[in-house]
Amino acid sequence: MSIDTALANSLPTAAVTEEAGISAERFEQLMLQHQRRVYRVIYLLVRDADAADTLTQECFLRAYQKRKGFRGECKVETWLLRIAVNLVRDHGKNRRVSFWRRLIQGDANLPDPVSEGATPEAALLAKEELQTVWSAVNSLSPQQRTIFFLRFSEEMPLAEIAALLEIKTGTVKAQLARATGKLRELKEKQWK
Amino acid sequence: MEMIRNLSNEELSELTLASDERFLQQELTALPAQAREAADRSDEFWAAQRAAVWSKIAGRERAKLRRPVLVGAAAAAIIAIGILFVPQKTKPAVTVVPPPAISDQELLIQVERVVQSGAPASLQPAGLLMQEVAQYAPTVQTKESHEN
Repeated sequence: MSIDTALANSLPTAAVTEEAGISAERFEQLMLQHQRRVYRVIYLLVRDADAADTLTQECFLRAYQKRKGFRGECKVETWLLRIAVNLVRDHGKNRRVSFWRRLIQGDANLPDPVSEGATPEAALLAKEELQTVWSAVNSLSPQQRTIFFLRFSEEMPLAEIAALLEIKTGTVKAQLARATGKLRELKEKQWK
Repeated sequence: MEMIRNLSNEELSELTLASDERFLQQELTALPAQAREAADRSDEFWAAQRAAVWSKIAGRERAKLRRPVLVGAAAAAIIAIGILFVPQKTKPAVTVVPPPAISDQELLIQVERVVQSGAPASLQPAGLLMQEVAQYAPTVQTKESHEN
């Protein structure tokens, strides 16, 4: 199944040009359909809105350039997220310093998790707990962090994460267990 | 303990993971909503992002089209520079080979041969000269021998 077939299934009205294989309308639809998730995953991993925007654009640019190479072994979304994760990995190599700075300073972009009807004390407690989790996630290795967010923020099945990262499902489980183990350790320490 | 020993690494990971997930349930449950909220942007933002992608695509396509022209121009420039700066091959010097030196007597013999073999009218004076040389040559030799 090529990208055309995959897209034709999701976008039956879209036209295909003979030369490019995928028309501008179809690629526009592809972006409309997936840009939020691609941006979100990138944002969770880089924690920088501007960088996430730039990397999302780069992700779709690469997808457009490589669209003829898509062989349909996985879902279009998985393919896009794979490009996104690879871009983040390359970006991370150049931004080690920035990562450590953010780790030390904490995360200013963390949203306020105050839920409706919660008392100020409960909301404060919830915010502190989440702050702890997000800071702890930053201390994980890049691969563990990626797997953690894909599993718990994006609620992706383990097999899909494995397909996305091109690793075995067993490796995903092991990495995830290590990640949650570290978070558990941190939480236990806080309680003491 | 015996049961744990019989578990494979993957099963052990699953067990640990399930236990940790239960322990962190509160935090993990809040994560998807929190992530969505953190990455939530306006419709204008998404439209601008798509426009930026199309702009980048157009830029790359233009660059791709321009590349062969640039390569051609560069090649032409290199060839032109090559023609201007590479020293031209010097023509081989023309060496004038002097005719083999022959004595006057040999020259006269050659002329005689030509005359005898039916020379053209323009060479008749040369024929006369040859006859004269033939007449006087023995006399001179005799006179010289008497003197000796």
